Amino acid sequence: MKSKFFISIFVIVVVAIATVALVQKKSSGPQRMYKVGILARGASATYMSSIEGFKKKMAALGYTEGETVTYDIRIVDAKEDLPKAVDAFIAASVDLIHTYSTPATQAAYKATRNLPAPIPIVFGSLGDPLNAGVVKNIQRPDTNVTGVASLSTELTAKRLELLRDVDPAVKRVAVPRSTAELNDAASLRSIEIATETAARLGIELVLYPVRSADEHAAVAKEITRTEVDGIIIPADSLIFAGISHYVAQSLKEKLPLAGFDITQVEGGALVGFGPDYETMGEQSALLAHQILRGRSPAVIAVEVPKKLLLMLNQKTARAIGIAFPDALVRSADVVIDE
Amino acid sequence: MNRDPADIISAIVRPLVIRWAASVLLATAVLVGINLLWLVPVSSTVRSAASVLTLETADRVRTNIELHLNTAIEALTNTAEEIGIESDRRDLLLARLLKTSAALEWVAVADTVGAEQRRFDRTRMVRPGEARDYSRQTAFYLALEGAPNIGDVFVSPALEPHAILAVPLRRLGKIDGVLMAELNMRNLLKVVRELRVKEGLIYVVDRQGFQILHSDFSEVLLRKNFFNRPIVQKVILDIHIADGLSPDDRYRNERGVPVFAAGMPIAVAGGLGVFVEQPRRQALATERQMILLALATTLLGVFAFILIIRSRRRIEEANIRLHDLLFEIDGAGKMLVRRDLELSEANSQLREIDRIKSEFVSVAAHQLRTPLTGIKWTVNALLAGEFGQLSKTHTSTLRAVLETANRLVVLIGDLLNVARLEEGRYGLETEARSPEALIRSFAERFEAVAEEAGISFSLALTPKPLPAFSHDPQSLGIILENLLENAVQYTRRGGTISVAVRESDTALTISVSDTGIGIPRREQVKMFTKFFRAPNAQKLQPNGTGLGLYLAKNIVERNRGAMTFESAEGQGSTFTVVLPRSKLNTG
Repeated sequence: MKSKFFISIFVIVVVAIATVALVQKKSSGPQRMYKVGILARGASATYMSSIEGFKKKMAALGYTEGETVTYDIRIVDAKEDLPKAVDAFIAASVDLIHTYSTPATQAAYKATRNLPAPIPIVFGSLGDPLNAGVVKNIQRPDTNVTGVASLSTELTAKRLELLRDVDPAVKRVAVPRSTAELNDAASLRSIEIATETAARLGIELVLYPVRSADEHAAVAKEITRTEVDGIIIPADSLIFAGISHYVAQSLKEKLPLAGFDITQVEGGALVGFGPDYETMGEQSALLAHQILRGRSPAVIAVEVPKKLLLMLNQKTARAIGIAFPDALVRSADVVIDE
Repeated sequence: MNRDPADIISAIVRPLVIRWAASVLLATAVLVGINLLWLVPVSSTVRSAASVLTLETADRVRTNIELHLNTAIEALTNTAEEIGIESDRRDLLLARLLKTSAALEWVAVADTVGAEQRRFDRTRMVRPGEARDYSRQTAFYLALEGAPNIGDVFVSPALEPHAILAVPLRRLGKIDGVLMAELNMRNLLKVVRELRVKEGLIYVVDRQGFQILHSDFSEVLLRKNFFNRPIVQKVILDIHIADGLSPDDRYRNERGVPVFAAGMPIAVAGGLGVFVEQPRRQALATERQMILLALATTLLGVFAFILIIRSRRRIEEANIRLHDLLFEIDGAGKMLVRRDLELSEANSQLREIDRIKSEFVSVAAHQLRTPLTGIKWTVNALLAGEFGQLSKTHTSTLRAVLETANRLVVLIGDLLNVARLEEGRYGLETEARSPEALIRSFAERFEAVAEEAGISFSLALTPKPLPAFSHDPQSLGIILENLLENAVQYTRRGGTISVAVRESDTALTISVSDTGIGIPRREQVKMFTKFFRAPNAQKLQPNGTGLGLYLAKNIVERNRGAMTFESAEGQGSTFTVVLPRSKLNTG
């Protein structure tokens, strides 16, 4: 009788110690399985590299895919299909929505902001969150949205200046863009900035409206050397998705093209200035980690890219007969010469 | 049936071990429980106090950093506003800002694409061709979005912590440039160095977990990252205060030392975190002392308990032994009682047998005495010549027969007297008269016998005649007969016998002394036992009965008197009889 009593005490002590040890071990990592919905407009290589950066950093933060996190990645080309993807995320009760592009973020915000418990949204690339209407303040969003602004709208001016620095003779510059009817806020703002900068630099902008992804090839063919001296890519997710058509056309017509991402420069764009999208993906992961730990996105300041790159493609320069100024080459972060 | 010895030992030892271990475990559990009752609240208080002290230090660092950075941002913001209003005084305002803010290394104005338009440097004049490009500065873009901000902290060429500040420049409500500056944070180094706690240190990390300030600035140069510490994530990601009391707040520092640390978020520069750490043995020294005290008391308690158990076991064993002993004594007592009963029964039987024997002796003696009297009468008649003249041979033979018959008469008389005594039938026939005549007659008779044997005999009486008192003359005669006969028989020729009679108010004392063979010392204890005869006596007189002294002593005692003797072998003996007069008187 006596020995049973002591065995019981011993068992209770062992169980208590094991429980404490288990609780302490658990507290060091994610406590459960999280579901993250990732929504991008257009299967651009830019977004893909950012998504990879996001997943890589999440893994580094302890979220093992299949064990403590699952990703539902949806790439949507048509803007009108974005709400359906968001509804699918809501139906699946995802813990967080990670978006790429202004339309994707707006669709997610619109569908979730009035939910009893709005699903937090972290955008991984969005030109101007204030202009897109998804945050009320950069330093304190006060909505269920926060993320990393890609600066693609602000950098439109920089890309135009860059094109002028490469070839000071540039006078007419082509800008493919979503049609105004599509009402892409980033695109509209980007064109606004480009117009102001062009006016300051004495350059004329030639706008090439695109209604859908199907029109990229046809629109790109319209951009010829007889019409323009160069091309810049605005902050426009529709154009990002069809960037290859415009790069190919620039090579064909021997026109300098200013893009914003390493994948575009690697693909043949003459110059590029923009964020390192992989690093942006990592920044997004850190924000997502904060939110999954319990912090509200409403109080997490919007970030800007930690790393901005100036990229040059010497091969393209030779192909189209342009020589980069020495100062520009010296300040470049990436020079592609293969 | 054959059991393994190991099993047998196990069967014996295991219950003991379980009982001992169980008792010690219980005692330990109770002692631990009692100690926990005071240790837990004390420990909690000690930890809370350590937490408060550490957080106070962290808060002072936080306040200093926020004050330093916010003061600089405020100065920049004020200047930006003034430039927005009076753009033509821009250079003057920039110069004044540099002059009034000692921590700023330089100030500059950039346009919306990051191109520097004007810069003032504290250490040198800026030439027109040295314009910088801020288009790759994160802080620049945040300012362009309208948010005054502080960029990442970096180490300057002078090995000091610096940070880029940026505030928007507005003109007519629209942002048309950014006011940039480089802030020197060397003052904060001094703060973290001076506020450091004993054996501990203070460090500040940025939002990526990189160490930007440290009590020892050389540590910052190593660009260490502490993002993986749970306490760091708690502070810089969750914007929670880490009080050091949560299990998540614990970690080992780079030297592997467990530390007690607390941290606080700093709401500037994108979110910083300040941490104050101290070796746990230092921060929680009091707690450790308390734990050691509790441990010591527990161990002492367990030791005392073991001693008590051992003592108790010994007492139990002693009790068991005592119980066994009492049981044995009880058994022995019962056995003694049983033996006593058996002995009493045997004694009764013996008494009965003795009584039967005495009756038999008495009857036998009576039955023997009658024919013996006839034999004596016949022998005397023959010797008297009533049946004719006898020859000398016949006369001699008959005299031997008569002598033998006389010894038998004496023997039978003694046996009858002994039988009477033992059966309680020995009656005293007392009469009040002086014993002197009786004593004198015995003295005279035995004086004649003594003379015949060549022994000197004397009688010493009191000068006055002995007074009359109540006594049994026959008993006194038997006593005198036996004492005097022994004296004559065991005294050799040439020896002396003296009889002394003394009288007092209470007693009559008669002593008979001789210079005879005496009684060996080792035989003296058996002197008054029935049929006892000392070996030297048997050697001298083979025909004695051994009943005389037994009979005399019992008769004396029957008369409530006492009989004693003193003797030395080869030197003689003295027998003394004391007869109480009063008793005799009462008869």
